[in-house]
Amino acid sequence: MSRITRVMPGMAISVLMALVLALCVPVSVFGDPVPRNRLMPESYVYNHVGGGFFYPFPAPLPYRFSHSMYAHDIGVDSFMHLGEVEYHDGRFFITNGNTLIVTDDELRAITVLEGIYVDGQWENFSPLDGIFITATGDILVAEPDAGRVIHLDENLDLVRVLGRPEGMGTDETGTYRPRKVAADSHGRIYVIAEGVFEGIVEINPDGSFNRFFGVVDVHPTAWELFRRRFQTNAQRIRTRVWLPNNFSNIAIDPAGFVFATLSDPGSDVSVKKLNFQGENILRRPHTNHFVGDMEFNNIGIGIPQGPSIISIVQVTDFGVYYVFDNNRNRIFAYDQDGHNLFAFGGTGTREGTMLTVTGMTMAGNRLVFADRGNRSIEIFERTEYGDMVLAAADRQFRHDYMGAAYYWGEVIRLNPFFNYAHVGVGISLYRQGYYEESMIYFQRGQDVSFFSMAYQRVRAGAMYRHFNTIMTIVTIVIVIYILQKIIRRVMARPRQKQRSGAA
Amino acid sequence: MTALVNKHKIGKFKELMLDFPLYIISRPFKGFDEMKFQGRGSMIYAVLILLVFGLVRIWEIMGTGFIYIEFFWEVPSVHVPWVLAFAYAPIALVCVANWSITSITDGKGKLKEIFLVYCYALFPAIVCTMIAIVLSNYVTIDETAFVTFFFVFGQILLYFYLFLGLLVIHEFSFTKGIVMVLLTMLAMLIIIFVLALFVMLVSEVVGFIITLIQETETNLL
Repeated sequence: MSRITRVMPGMAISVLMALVLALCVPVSVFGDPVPRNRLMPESYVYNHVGGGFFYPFPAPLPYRFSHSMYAHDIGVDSFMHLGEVEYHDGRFFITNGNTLIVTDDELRAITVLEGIYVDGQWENFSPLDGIFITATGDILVAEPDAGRVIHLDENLDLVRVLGRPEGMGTDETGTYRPRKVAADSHGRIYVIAEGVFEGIVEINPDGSFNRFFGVVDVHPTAWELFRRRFQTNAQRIRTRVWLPNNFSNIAIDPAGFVFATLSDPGSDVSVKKLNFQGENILRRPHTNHFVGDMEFNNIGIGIPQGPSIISIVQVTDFGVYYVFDNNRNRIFAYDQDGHNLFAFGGTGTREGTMLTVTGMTMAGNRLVFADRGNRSIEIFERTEYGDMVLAAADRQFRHDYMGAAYYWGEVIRLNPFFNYAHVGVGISLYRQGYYEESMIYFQRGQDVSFFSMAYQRVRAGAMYRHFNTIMTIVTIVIVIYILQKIIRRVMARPRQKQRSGAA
Repeated sequence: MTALVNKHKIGKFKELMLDFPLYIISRPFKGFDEMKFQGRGSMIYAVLILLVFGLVRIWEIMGTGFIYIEFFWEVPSVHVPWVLAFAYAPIALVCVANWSITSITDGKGKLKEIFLVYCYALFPAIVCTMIAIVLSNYVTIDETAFVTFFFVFGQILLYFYLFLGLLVIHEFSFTKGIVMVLLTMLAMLIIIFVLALFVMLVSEVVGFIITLIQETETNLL
């Protein structure tokens, strides 16, 4: 007995190693081509498992690592100070320290811009940060140290320089370091700046200051307020000012809504979709649901702890948005209703993992990351599974429920443990009027509200069909009851008469 | 003749299982009094109602509607011993705790009577729970309040009749009854604490013996 127990761990380890070796066996043995990254990084999806609980389930990879591009591959000296990466119409725009790199579709450098002519005077860039390409191809680059946003046209010629907007706040000498920038289709420019705590700076198309937008509220804890009550004025002056956490990144969806991320661990709103009044209108499937990892460790040595720190957001034109978690280097995608579609990624120097990501962009079916930690641009390509999930979300966004059902069916074929795919099929059946069939799918997807809607229709239909039967039975029962009473009374009457007659 | 006897037996069974519990529901003071002094309470009823109670608990887990519990199993499965233990253990705990408290505070009830009172108080609770379970399969999300009402109302009735029954069998006044309830809760906590301590100590001893055996096996044999 004891011998067996002593041998067991060794056996287990050897079996495990054999499995690992089997996975590493060359391609031709298994007959089908095996991708280079056979040992996949983690990929999962947050399923609603009922009762407002969300739990990660393993899922196929939606994006697979394709290749990395280092500085010499692209044709520049160094990626020491890699900033953001953006993609527009076959060109990548990368901010890298004091330079703006423009590359072609295969990430080979076309132009490296190191400065601009302002009023005929050559000015070298100071370190650049955020970059945004408008729908017309104009380029906006934020230059924090110079306190300005540079507006270039698609041929990289200077259009204008947007310095500190006039009339912004009462203090005209305060710091203004624009870090991230975005513009909507009407030309309004949104700037996230360091030293500005009133929210996002909204600039009119003509460059004048319009307003602050989407201010983040400060929520002092009860203990802080209690302690402040007992402080003297001198103490209050010396305590730290309660400043709101400002937004960390920004994106604009085709309808003109601003998506902004908040790097505020602890709050369950890390991404906001702001309407034109600056209110958060991002939908979530359940009040317990929030963007990022919902199951995480709070203790541990050498591993990231705590909730996700969302630092990048990118929006597609069909309502799906991608967020990047800098805490664990994972990518999360959500559809327009806030349901998690997939999550993948990981920390490390291995293929398919990242260290310190500063930029993320979607380029066709590729997902491109600027990884300052690895000094590389990481390119991921979408898999069949990712294609199906996104196609289904796209059809659902366009209210093409039949098309969505087809793609959700394909998703279920590839990953039956994706609850929201079942809900997607159910919605399609519900729209077509197959209420009873849709109920099964809503049950599998743990979606109570849709199930309730479908059941209400089923119940009403059953009522409608069986109304005659039910009413007939009820009427017969009532009639029998009344008849019984009458008969009893009639039967009882003669005796009373007899008694009264006798009296 | 046999027919008459059978009819009589059935009538007696109905009286045992339905009429007397309903009588207690409608006239609790009189009913519990008759249970104690005229011997109308029955252990057969008690055992059967406990059986039904366990079955209803299993049914509650398996048969409550998806809209109410918001959780769907493709294949419903219940760990029956676990569920039954969680159904019956509180009953044993309440009975023992109440008995231990009332026997030192001049309560007139015996352990058997306390147990019978609990079983008779379970009757309306079981009926309400069954109604709620059936109803939960036929409601939409807006109507779940009705189901919640029946579940909660059943629990309230249970505690109400349990309190009245204990008052009657111990011949307590109302204020003394309140004190009894508080002391019973305290006694329950103490019992749980002692049990937990006991389990932990036993596991320590067992663990020690197992370690001893393992050490002997590896080092001496």
